[in-house]
Amino acid sequence: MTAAGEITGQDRSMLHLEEMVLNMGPQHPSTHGVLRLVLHLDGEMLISVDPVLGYLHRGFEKLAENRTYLQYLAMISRLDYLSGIFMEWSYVRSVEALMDIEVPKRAEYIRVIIGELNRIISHHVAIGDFMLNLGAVTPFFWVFRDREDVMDMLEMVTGQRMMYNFMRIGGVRWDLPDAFEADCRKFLKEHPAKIDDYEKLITDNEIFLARTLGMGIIKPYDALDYGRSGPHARPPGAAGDLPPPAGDPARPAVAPEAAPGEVPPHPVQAPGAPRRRRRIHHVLEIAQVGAEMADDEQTERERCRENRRRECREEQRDGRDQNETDEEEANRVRQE
Amino acid sequence: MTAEDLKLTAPEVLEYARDLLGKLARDLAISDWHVVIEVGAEDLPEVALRLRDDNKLSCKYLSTIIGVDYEEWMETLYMLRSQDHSVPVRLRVKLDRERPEVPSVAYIWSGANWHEREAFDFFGIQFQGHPDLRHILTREDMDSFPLRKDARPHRKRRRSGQVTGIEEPVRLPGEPDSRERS
Amino acid sequence: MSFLEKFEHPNILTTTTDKLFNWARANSLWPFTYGLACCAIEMMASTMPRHDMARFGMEVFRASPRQADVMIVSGTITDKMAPIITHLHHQMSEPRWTIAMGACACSGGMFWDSYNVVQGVDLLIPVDVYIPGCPPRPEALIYGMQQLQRKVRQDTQVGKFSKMADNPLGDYIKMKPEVGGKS
Repeated sequence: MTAAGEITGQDRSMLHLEEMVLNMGPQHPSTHGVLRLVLHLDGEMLISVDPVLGYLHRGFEKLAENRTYLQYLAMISRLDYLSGIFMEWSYVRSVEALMDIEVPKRAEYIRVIIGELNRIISHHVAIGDFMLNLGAVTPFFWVFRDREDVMDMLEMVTGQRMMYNFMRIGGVRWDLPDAFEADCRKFLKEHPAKIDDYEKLITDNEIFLARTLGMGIIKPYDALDYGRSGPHARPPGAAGDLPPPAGDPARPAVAPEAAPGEVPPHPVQAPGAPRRRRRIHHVLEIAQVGAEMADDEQTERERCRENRRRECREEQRDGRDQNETDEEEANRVRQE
Repeated sequence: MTAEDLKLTAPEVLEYARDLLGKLARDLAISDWHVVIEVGAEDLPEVALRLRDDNKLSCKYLSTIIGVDYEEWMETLYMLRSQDHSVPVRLRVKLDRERPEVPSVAYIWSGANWHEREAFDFFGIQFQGHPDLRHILTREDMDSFPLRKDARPHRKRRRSGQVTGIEEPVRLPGEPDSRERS
Repeated sequence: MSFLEKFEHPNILTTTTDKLFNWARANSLWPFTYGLACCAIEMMASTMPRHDMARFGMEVFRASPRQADVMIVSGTITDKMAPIITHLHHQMSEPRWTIAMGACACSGGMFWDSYNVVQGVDLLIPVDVYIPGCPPRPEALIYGMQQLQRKVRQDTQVGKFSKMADNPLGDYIKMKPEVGGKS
């Protein structure tokens, strides 16, 4: 051994060193959710890992065989519970593509806004948990505190903090409430400052860089080969995103800025959290665009409201029942 | 990838694939916006290699492998995407339901390893040549294949009063037993 | 604590010691991080600045079962996970309590008929408090923890030690033979 306590080559031939197999079982502090990793370690350096999955396999596909389309909608947001709205959205969009249903424009805008808000909080958890795994607890608390503002807004719209059940086949469940827009704009103004806080704390942090730079290197070809695309493939230089399929009607008709192919390539710095933060800036912009688009719909909504009020007034004047269904109205008209 | 390549349309990709594959492709079609190529199980590795290594099609990205159980036959679907053009390519392989076997493409696209394990886990499709074919999502000792159409899907509903692990519920002193009320 | 072993039943001499032990335990329930699924996120949120569980003494989430008091089973229990839950529950040292958080842990929830889901964690381990919800709000989890605190305060330390010699499996003795208890 050297004076500093390092093991020299000579020592190595005398010591019997072997690889250690450690079971990082389905329950331990950094599995958010359950993931079992069988680690092959040389001291503290990881040589290889064998993940064992299935500890949260709930059988969604088989359950879907025995639910109606509407019943299953309530279940699907549990698939990725942090971004439940996207699970619902993809499901609903698939059904709409199969049935050739056209979604009203306002519903599309609402979907984009709610979806991007959900994406923001999902990415926040990603940052927080990533930092928790590295041992930094402060960002974990910060992100959950910031999540609460967004979850308040989502609760105002959908009624739920996490499993929204908001998408419907052909639109969304109901319109945005009046107080939502002011809250959303306030959030969009105030939130970038919080993200700057994260950047100040994390991006150039010595420990963060020491633990992430140069770790887990994947070559560009391997990235695509293993099925990585998007944010996982950009850092290796595999030019990241796959071009979106041309003619795919399942893409939302609005917010073309959200198309993945158009996200500008980021300079390759420390992987992980900074990428996500730039993404959050990006989705904040999208949410702002969505909010601006909603302004156009404001007049539309007012117009609809006026129509409805006028109809009610007319019905009252004529002495008709306001809650009459179409069939009853047709019957009544036939009798007259 | 060039600007011209990105403008490849599905019919162009279909014709190009037809020339590329010749007799290996049993049937080519366009379904929605995908190019669907039906191949036989024994031809699958050759077709996969050609599609992956071709300069124009370069389907280097395997999105997923799906097993499907039609009640008379089974299928595996391979969803391929490319960085160079925006037409998704789908490979269909029809399999016999009694003995569903297909060569593995795990050495062609490394990501196929887990997708094939999942298809095996749910349907019992044997992928020949797979380096490590075992259960991935269900229990290791699971003997049935749950997503087959003839698999028993359900557990019975747990009725109230059914045996639970505990014989006597622990009660707080002074608290009325909620079961006595109903 | 040997003097407590002399008593068979709680009596006037042991009220204060019981109160002391129960006060200490109820106000420092250390949860075991057993977040499985979506409820885990709400469990994490309940320790976060908005709904702060630490003000009730439950801030120290221990990952090791030996150091934890209460196991909050939050999320769906799958067949693959079931032996691990029992294993970990065995490893927790007494006194220990269990909270079934969320519909999936109470009864299998919306996945009750799945081929891979256990219909409720009380088929595996004894449960003290059930918190319904999908997911239960953090306020609901805190309320459930407070109910557990109330239960802990009713506890007694007397008579346990003499029973433990005959009954080493503790609360597992009450479980039916089919699920591992002794009759």
